[in-house]
Amino acid sequence: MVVAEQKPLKDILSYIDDSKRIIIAGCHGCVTVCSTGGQKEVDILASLIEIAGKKQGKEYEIKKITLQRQCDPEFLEELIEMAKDYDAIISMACGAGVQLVAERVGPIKVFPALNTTFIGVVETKGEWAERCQACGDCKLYLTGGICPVTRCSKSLLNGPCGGSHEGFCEVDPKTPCGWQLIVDRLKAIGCLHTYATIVEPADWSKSRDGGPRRMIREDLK
Amino acid sequence: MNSCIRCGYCYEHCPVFKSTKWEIDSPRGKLILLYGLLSGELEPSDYIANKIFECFHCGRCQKACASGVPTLEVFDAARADLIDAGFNVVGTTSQTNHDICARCLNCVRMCKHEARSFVDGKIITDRLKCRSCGSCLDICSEKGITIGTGYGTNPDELSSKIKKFLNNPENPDAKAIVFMCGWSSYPGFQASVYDKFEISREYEILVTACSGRLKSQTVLESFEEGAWGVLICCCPENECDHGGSARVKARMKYLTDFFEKMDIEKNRIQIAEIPQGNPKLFTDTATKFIKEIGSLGPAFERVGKC
Ligand code: SF4
Ligand code: SF4
Ligand code: SF4
Ligand code: SF4
Repeated sequence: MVVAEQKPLKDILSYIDDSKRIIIAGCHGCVTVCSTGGQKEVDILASLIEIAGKKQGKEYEIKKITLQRQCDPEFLEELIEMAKDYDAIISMACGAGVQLVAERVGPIKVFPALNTTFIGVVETKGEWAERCQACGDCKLYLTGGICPVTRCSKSLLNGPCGGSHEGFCEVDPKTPCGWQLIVDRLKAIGCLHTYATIVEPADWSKSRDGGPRRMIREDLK
Repeated sequence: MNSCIRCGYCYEHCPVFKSTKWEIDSPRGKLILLYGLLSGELEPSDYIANKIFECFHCGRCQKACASGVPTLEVFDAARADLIDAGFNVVGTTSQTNHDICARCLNCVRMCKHEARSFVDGKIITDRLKCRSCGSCLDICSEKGITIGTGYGTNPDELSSKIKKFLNNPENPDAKAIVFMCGWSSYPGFQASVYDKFEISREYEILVTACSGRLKSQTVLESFEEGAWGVLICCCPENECDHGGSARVKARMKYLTDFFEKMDIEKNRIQIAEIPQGNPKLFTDTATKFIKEIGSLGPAFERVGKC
């Protein structure tokens, strides 16, 4: 899922400094699942903004809504209709959701409440960790299902650098060395021979370096 | 069960009975219902089954029983039989709204009693394992978890009591909400309150059952309604059966971190561990707390308060 964290409250408050009527829009998708932008978080942010406003002698008029997904245009309709009466929208979706809202909603300010941090997994309760950088050319078939682009701090594709120390990474001694994980896993599944495969320099144009990416599926049109 | 002498010592301790004052909601009432079922004088029904499932598992009835009736065991056995017999019960167990549940599994992971699980695409509650602690209420980002009957402890019930207390024109002194755990601090307080302690006009005591049942939003609502501060009394962490004390501490830290960024003093939200049977610690803590927030003044100037 897409994982996001709430922005510092001071930042959010500064965005709406000159707005009075505000919509806080949550998303029932990924950000609900990572407990950052669901109905509960919309309630809490609304209360915090209201309390912060009262502290500054300011009254906000806040409307709360949580959409099925903010990354699908059909689900935005209710928000777009509602937005006509408001000064600003604070979106609690990931960056994709915020942008689709901004694209579709017309001349109304749209602000993000979250920092979209990564595509990741739940490691244990209350802890999420990055697993995929959306590089556009998945290498997991070679590396025992552990991503060198993400799990190696330097995204090395052909084994570790010299900074791998007792299984941990020199960039952060608390982060396991991605390549150590890969080698251990390859051994465990009896595929250590694939470690000898030289991976050609990556074609980063399939990643972000080629500009914004699209996917077109004629069969779904 | 037969050793119940109908003395009624249990019922004044039962939070369910205290909320409704109906015999049928008291532990003695539950025993009488079960007696009726066993003797054949009563026909089992969904209504009776639900009554048997309306219990916070605090065990205070068992402790208070003059005749040594193992009420908890009796009720647990009866519940298992009622489920086996196919009764459709909710009682005070936690329920999930499947239409809005995002299947995030956060509630499954957090329940200390392993009462929640993901089966056939849905979150289900094992009604025998669920101890009705309510710790899962605050975790759900979809607000999809409810406790069937809250007996005064459900979020909407707490909200309306908060509004009423803080906006009562006849009590201009109202300034704080004190949430008390129904297991530890409140029973001791209750035992002492009538003769030794005058309830302050400055704060309202609201019982939450386990402190983990308190939703972050309810605390924020207290401030929105003009509270100067909120005091939460929980069990010492190692004594809370439900992990509620540790949770409420973490949840309140999350809120006070925000408060600091808003230039609102973080000691406006305070947590005190009050072990069972220590009402003096409670009164001392509450007095100190009221003094502290009294010196801070209102969290913000209220606009339009008459
Ligand atoms: S808007 Fe973002 S957070 Fe919401 S469902 Fe789409 S991708 Fe997930
Ligand atoms: S365990 Fe507690 S809630 Fe349940 S019947 Fe006994 S006193 Fe009442
Ligand atoms: S926490 Fe809420 S949304 Fe998540 S699985 Fe449980 S009931 Fe569903
Ligand atoms: S957290 Fe408490 S109320 Fe929720 S399912 Fe578990 S035992 Fe029941």
